[in-house]
Amino acid sequence: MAQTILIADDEAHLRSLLQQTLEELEDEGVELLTAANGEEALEAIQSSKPNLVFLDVMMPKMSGFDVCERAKLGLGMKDTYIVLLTAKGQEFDRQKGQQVGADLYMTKPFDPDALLQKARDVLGL
Amino acid sequence: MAATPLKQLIARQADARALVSRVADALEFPLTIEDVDGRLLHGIAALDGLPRFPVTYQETSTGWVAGSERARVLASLLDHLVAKEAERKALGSEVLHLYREVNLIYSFSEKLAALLDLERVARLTLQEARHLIAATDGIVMLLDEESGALTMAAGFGDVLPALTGFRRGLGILGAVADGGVAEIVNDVEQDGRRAVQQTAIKSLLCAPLRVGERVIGVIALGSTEPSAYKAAELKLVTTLGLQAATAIENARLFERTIEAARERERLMELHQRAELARAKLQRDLDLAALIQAQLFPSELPQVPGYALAARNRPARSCGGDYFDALAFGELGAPAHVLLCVADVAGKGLPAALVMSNTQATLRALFGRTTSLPLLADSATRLLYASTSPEKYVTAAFAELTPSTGEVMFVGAGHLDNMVVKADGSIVKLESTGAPLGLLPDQPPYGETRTTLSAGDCVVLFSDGVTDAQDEEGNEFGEERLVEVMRASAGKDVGLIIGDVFTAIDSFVGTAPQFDDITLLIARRDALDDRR
Repeated sequence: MAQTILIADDEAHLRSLLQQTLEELEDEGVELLTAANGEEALEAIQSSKPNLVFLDVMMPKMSGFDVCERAKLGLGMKDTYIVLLTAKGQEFDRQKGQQVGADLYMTKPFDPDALLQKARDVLGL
Repeated sequence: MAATPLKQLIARQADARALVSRVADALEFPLTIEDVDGRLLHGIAALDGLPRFPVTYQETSTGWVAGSERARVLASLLDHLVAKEAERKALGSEVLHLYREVNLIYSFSEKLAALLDLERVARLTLQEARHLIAATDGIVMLLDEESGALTMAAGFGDVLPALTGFRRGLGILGAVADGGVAEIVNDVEQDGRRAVQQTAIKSLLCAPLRVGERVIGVIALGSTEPSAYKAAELKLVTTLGLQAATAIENARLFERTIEAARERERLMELHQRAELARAKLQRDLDLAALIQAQLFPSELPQVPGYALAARNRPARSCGGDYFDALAFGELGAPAHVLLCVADVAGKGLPAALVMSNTQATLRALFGRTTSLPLLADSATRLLYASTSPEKYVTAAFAELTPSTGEVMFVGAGHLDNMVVKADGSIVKLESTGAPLGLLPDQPPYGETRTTLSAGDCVVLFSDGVTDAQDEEGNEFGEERLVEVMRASAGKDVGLIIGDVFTAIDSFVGTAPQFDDITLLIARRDALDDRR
């Protein structure tokens, strides 16, 4: 079955950069989905059930923390690997990320090689 | 297989796809968009014979638009969209590369902060640089300030690490170490500065390791394949180099601090051990002094009609001087009294040991010999046999017959002692033979006799009294001794001795006591002293 990665960020250029980083996976049969705000992200998670989600923490309509909490704790989606992306790196945010059930916390600017490798690890490619 | 630019555009960009649909509809003609291999990307399969127009990207065909003559305009639009998409991707690549560099520098800084080992810093720097810069060889060399030599701290590859003999100013690497400015040399063969005539390295990136204005080394990355290193790569190596330089400097300072601390510890330990040894030695000396003090007579004999006093003060803990006073005959009314002052050559513990031997020898002889000269003869033979050649003892012996006041004197190489008469005049008691223990065949000792009248003093002393020196080297001398004796004439003999020591001490002032001082006085009571 085709694997799916969801990229959720309110800034178009960042969605584009994330897509470009994961591009080679598309050639390996992975589908890349995008969302531009928290609501869209949650909908996409519910309907497409992606294997891996990159969630920007600062988004309108619903923050990445809230989306993660709803997905992990509300919907019980344990098999969805969620990575929170943020420009801030404070310990406070890291702890909050743990509380809402995030699997990983990455700071921006993200390391493209580390991000791609994490995707490969999670998807088993 | 990677998708072509057109395929990527149509298949993955939803908004591009939507735009293409709307344009195709507006053109009111079924249009087909095909991949370069002829696979369908959009629309329904075209029939043969319909006009087809290429979509090109960078002069290469990336697909086709087929349908009507109007398909041409769609092809042009697609050309533009494909180019724009390529531009966006190129920009994206640039940004992602910069993200990689930034993350590399962050991670490098963090890893560096944990390292205090010079070699590990050097290795880590080369390792991190290789993540983003293609190189077959790499080296970090450190500069010796004094000699100007560059020695390798870490390296990889077959060529660079094998090079030796680099120094400031020699070769391209030496030039960077000297000038402190980073360089790219993409054609090493053509560079006149290269140190090695034939080298497999074709291109080189070299940056100085600097701490402030000081160059402490260089970092270089090179390739045996022809490479075109770029300015951005040199900047990255320079940045990594600067951070590494600080870390290396810190590592060195750390090492020096540790070494200084170890040195202090070593010195403290040595000091402690020396202190313990010194304290032990002092204890032994104190003990020896205690033992020696017990060798001196604790009490001088009571001789009716005479007053006796004596004092010994060694220059160090233990001394080489000795005095003794023995009474023979009835207790409380002796027939003879033997007085003695002796001086071993030297001072301190070695002299004290010889002195204790001398004391034992004399004491053993005192009771057995009737004649003072014979006693001296026996003593010299015994001491010669039991001490080393350079050890000898000078001695002054006086045998007093209390009832008559007669004094028999034997001097064994001792300085002139004296009798101070009641009227203040002096009778010298001169040496009558060689020092005890000096010669193997000592001629018999001679003797001199004199008689004490009331108020006369026999004064036996060691050369520590007359040789006592002040800071300028002036000696106390015999005259001053006589002066004190005359001035203190009527006093108790113990007080007279005190006066002599006081006079010596105020004469020498701050000069330290050089030799052992011994003084023994025996005075015949004046008629009105008799009890």
